[in-house]
Amino acid sequence: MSFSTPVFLFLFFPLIILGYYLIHPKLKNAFLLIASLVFYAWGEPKFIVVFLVIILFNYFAGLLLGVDNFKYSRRMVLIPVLAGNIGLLFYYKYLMFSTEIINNVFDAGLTLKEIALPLGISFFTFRSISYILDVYWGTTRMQKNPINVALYISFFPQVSMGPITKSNVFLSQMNNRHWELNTFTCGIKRFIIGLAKKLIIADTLSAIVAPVFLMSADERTVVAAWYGMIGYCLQLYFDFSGYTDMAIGLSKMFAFETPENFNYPYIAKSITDFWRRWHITLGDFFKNYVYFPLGGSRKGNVYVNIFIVFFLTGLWHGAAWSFIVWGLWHGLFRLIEMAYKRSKIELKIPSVFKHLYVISVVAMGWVLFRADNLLSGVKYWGNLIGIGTTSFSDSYSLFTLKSTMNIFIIGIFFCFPVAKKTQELVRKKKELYNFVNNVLMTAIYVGLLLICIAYMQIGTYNPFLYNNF
Amino acid sequence: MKKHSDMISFIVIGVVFVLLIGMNWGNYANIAQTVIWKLQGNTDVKAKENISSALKESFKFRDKFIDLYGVTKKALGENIIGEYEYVKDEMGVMQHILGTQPADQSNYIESVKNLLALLNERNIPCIDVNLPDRGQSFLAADKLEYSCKRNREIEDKIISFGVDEFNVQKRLVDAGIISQKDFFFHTDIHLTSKAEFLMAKYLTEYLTEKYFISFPNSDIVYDFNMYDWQDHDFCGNFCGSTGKKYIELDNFQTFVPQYETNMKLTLPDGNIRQGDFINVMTNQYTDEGSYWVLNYGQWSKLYYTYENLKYPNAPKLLVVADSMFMRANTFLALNTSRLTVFDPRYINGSEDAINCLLDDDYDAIIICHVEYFNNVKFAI
Repeated sequence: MSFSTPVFLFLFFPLIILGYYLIHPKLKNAFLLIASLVFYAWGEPKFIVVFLVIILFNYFAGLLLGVDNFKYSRRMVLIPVLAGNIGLLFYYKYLMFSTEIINNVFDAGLTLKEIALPLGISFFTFRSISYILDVYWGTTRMQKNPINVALYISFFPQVSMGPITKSNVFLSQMNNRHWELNTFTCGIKRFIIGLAKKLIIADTLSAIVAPVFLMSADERTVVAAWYGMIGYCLQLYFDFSGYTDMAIGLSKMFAFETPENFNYPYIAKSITDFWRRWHITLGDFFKNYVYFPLGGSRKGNVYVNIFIVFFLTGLWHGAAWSFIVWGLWHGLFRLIEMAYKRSKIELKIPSVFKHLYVISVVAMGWVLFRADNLLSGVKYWGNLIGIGTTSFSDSYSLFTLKSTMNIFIIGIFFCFPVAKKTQELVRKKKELYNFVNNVLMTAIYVGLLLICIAYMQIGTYNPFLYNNF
Repeated sequence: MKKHSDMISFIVIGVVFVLLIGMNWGNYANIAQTVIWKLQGNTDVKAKENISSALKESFKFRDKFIDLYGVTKKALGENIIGEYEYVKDEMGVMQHILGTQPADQSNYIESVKNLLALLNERNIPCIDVNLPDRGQSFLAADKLEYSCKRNREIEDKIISFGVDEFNVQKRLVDAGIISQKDFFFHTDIHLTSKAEFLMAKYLTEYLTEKYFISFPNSDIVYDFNMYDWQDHDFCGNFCGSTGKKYIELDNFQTFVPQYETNMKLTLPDGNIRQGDFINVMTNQYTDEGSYWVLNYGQWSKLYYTYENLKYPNAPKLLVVADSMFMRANTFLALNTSRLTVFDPRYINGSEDAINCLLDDDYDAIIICHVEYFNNVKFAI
């Protein structure tokens, strides 16, 4: 069930929010767990058993790891549990890809039936791993109550696309959260913003980006290649950050605080900075559970550690060479930046060039990320500078660009923290701020909500992009 | 003060949301019923579809929300609707985009070939009505598939193996009898009533000129002044996706002959209607919000026959067409003794459907191809 569908907004959400606030406080977590399982089963009924097995497996593993006087080495428990979680992820997500590689390299002729991917498997596996490792390291207390573990893994606002909240952050709020008007209202507003990002910007751009990537390299014009690439940069950001806003907003309505996942990534001045702003919780996961255990920048070879992290980042997004190369593409620039930093050479580069550098690397990376395969992605790069294309522009490209120019402008505008800065500026003028906040902003939110409902009434179902991962 | 502002936002947004739910209370009753049926083990109930539909297609004031969608799209200057399903072209005319890949037309081509062989044996002429290109002024037409473009491709093919062509673009639009703008609605895939009237008129003339088929009542039937034309604001089938505010509304002209008519309609199920034009040839729509196109003809019927009881010796025609030619059919029927309309879209497994309808006494077979015929086999 997607947040941007009428079924969610007008059926699931009101029932759950009403039930949650009417039910006895002691039953709230159990109620949320049932709601989360219904939410998951609505989209993936056939995987609900797998999902429950994963939850129970990690619950019991956590119990074992958390026993104070465990007579065996806890590592003996940890390794099979991690292997179980990663193995399941491997089976659903990477087995087909691995078989393909084996067949190509060894001409093995292995055949495999198509394996369907359970919704959100990459996200809930990482949350499971987070719980297990945190219990192992003692940063989270082992949970005796299975509802706590189950709700952490399955919490419906975050189950399909994150954010990947750390177990200690989530579990510490399990029995320690209270309704506050401010938080609840903030959650509603955040949800509406996310809905608007998804429906008004991302889905509109999807209609023009998809055909560009479907075109063969020779029929794609230079103009189409450029608006397709920029359009995808914006689509992906507004789609994913829109989902995150909705997830954070919903979590707030249930009085859960959730870490931010985005912080205006396209204003970054370096790739290192970009990864501090883009999919922050995934970056944190790899930092805490891969990079630091590998030795980080203190032990071992830091360049190798970074390489591994970016290789895994690419692989996490999908079982295809294009994702792996995309991860390594970012890793390459991250390594160059690190080498530059360590060399202590200081060049005075104007900010505008730093931004241009980041945008270029990121946008070209997204082309690989979006393309059907690596070769298509590389050919797309060629199209950007007129290689492999027959014309610079055609009437179709110009029509499409002209038709969506305003959405491009709006999208680019909201990639910058202009609204945030404006609100901060207005807040300083206290009286004006009160007026603006009370009347104008409420009107804007109501207007946006109504427009989003209008978009829902028209739109064909357009799943969130990160649902695929 | 911050608390007050939160309270205001909370109350206003909450009230709007509760109002939206309240307005749809009836839909929630349907959802509850669906859930109960499902829980009772009724496997025929498609719960997900029913629930989705109750909150989307049956959503209260859905048309107003679609209008709001159109207003927003217009304010944003967007000409592309949905997933490139519709576009507003440079002339402000809506185009229904069918993708980027050409359609497989083999079934249709084969059927027309078979039909032509039958007709040649029986010496019955076969004429294809070649409609103008709706996307003539649509810049992005080169790379996109839309109905008129696909029609043109298929018509070129069937003409190449011997079907005669009545080229409406050349005979009506280029000749200045009707402008491209007056030929099509902005908001609907169909043709204006005036366009269909003129198509019937000039097609009749063509049949007389080329095939010496003589029609008894042309002077009256094709006199524009012999009808009571009434104007209605019309938001056609594209409005379901764009609302009434996105593009300029059309004017739909309904018409009633101001001369005596005596017609009979026979439907496939054996039902018969007999009487004047209004009783037989219209579906007697009166509501201003009607989808006026379907006021004429028998939409969703595989075939039906009009008999003009006033002119039993007039020519007989068989027309292969969909709703794109329904009003033209009514004008043709007023000038023939028998007119059978055959819409291949509604064939259900019977690939020889037209073979059964054919008899030797048709004076001509008219085909008005539309893209939706591509996948059907209707003649063996």
